[in-house]
Amino acid sequence: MAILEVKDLKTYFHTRNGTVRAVDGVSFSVERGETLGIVGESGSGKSVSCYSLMGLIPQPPGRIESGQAILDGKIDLLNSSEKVLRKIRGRRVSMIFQEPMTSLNPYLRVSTQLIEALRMHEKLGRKEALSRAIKSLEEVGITEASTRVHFYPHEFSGGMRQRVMIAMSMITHPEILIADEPTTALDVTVQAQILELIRERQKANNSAVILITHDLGVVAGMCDRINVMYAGKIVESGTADDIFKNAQHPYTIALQRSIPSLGSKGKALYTIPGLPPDLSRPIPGDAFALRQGIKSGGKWANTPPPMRQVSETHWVRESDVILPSLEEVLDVR
Amino acid sequence: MFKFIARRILQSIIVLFVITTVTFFMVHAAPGDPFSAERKMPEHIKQRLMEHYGLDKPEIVQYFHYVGSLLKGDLGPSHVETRSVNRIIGTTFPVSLELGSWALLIALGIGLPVGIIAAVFRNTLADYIPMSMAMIGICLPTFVLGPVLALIFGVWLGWFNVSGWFIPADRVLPALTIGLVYAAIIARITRGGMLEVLNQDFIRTAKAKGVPFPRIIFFHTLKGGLLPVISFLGPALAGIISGSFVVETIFQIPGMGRQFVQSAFNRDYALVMGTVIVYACLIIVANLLVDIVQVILNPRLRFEDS
Ligand SMILES: Nc1ncnc2c1ncn2[C@@H]1O[C@H](COP(=O)(O)OP(=O)(O)OP(=O)(O)O)[C@@H](O)[C@H]1O
Ligand SMILES: [Mg+2]
Repeated sequence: MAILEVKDLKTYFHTRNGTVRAVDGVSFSVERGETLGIVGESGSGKSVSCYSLMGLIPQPPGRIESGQAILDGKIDLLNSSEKVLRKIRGRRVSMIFQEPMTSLNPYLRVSTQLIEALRMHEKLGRKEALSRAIKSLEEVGITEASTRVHFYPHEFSGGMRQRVMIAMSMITHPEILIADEPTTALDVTVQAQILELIRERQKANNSAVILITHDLGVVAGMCDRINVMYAGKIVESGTADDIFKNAQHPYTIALQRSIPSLGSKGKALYTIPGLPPDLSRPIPGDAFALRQGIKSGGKWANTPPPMRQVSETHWVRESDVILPSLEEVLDVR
Repeated sequence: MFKFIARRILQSIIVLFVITTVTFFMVHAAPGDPFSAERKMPEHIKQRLMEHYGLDKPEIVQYFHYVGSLLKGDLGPSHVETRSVNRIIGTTFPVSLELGSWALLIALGIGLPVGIIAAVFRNTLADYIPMSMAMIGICLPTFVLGPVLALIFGVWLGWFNVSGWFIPADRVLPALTIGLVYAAIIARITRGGMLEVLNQDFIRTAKAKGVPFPRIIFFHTLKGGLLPVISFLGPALAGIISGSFVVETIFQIPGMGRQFVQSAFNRDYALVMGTVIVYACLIIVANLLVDIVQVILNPRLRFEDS
């Protein structure tokens, strides 16, 4: 059975300029030990989906309009009391954030922040918790951990801080780890190490990992299954093979063509023309078709395109968008 | 930390020296002298007095003489009163210190909790109501608040004496007058500081760890949120403790603020100098304390220093 099953999640922000439908009917599930990638451009609702699961949506303006997120077949993360959820957050489900420089508390020692979850959730004594903290730092490759555990965050570099974040999120051996662009802010050489580390920690704990990124290249090597998001909806979902070898949705295809490592060297890189739509206006049909510089047959202009099953593992949202060729894209530029 | 304090003390001594020098010559440059009071005195008596206090010598000689005795801790004789400046300040300073301490207690005791509550419940009535009151408090000058409090609690309700400094209850109205104004400022600064920190990414991390709400406020937010209050307290502390001249006048309190203004009017050179030096020390000590607390609260500062 899936460790987490999300059904029809809708998270809207009610702002002065209208209702932003940041996440608009997202469903997915993750198994134990599995890595699920969520890919999409900036603003497609990746972070908001995960913040919704962690209870981190600022309310107001945010509101979870509908949906369920069933943990281990028992607890609904979206409709349980704060008391129940507090015992789950940081213990059974934990999270790594995009900004390693600001995600650790600068006023508290790393040791204090590391042992907090242990003291709270596992009721460990100080000494015991501290030795677990030191061990967890060693596990993420921080040397001289017994000294450095007492440092303040500013005494670590960005990459090191992200290691500390990973140690902190894995210290309670969570069943689910949500990593929101864990490497975006880091330099390329460090990125690979951090991803490797997440994978290693995941194996050690048999955790499920939800890896969010706007970079298809990152998910290629990491994920078992991938959801592609566009304008608050999932447009394609399948195994890594389905998505990379048999992409169906024009948006997925466009994303793929814009990865440098997969395109051939020396050739101009594909870019998707236009910008994602403004989510504060209702979108009656295919959101991708609304993009400037993109043509479509108009079949899904006013009806929401349904999901079509391609294979047992592979689903795609209907779309009759015809991607412009590389030459056309270059012309516009 | 130790090096930091030593350096600051050295700096303070230099500052103190500069202040002493500048004040000395400015006071002496002001028109008039201690003996040109309302009552004219015969010229030969004035001459004798000037000689007695050494005021007939060149200013530079007077200056070295003054600094010499200052180094021995002697602030000299008052030119107007019969007591020495040390004695006068010795009796007025404790009064101001006591008044200031009560006022500070009121300012922090009201300002901090109100500011924290307003930040936690921002954009609700628990924020709007106290913050509007604080705005009024900031705009209300002490020379209005003081008499109003005296009128209500002294004259109408008769709970306290309208003025004077004799029984413990006499502390209440003046301490409130100073304390409430500072409480209003502190409440607003606290609210701002707390909100700033509450919006930081690391608070989100704490929530994601399942940290209970009160602990998020008091453990994760407070340290950073109070930093602006601490920096405000540096200059404010000296102001609060030295007691405002206005409040001491309204309530007829024999404190240092009143003394200071009187001495300036009287051209009582030594007393003016003495009060200025005590004020300067007070400000320096307050700022030093504040800096130390800041370094303790903010580990990033600690590092830059060493
Ligand atoms: N507090 C908020 N108030 C209003 N709108 C918000 C708020 N937070 C997010 N949104 C909106 O929700 C949408 C989705 O944002 P989200 O952060 O999930 O994007 P993302 O896919 O994570 O992008 P990125 O790759 O930039 O992190 C955006 O259009 C954003 O403007
Ligand atoms: Mg994001």
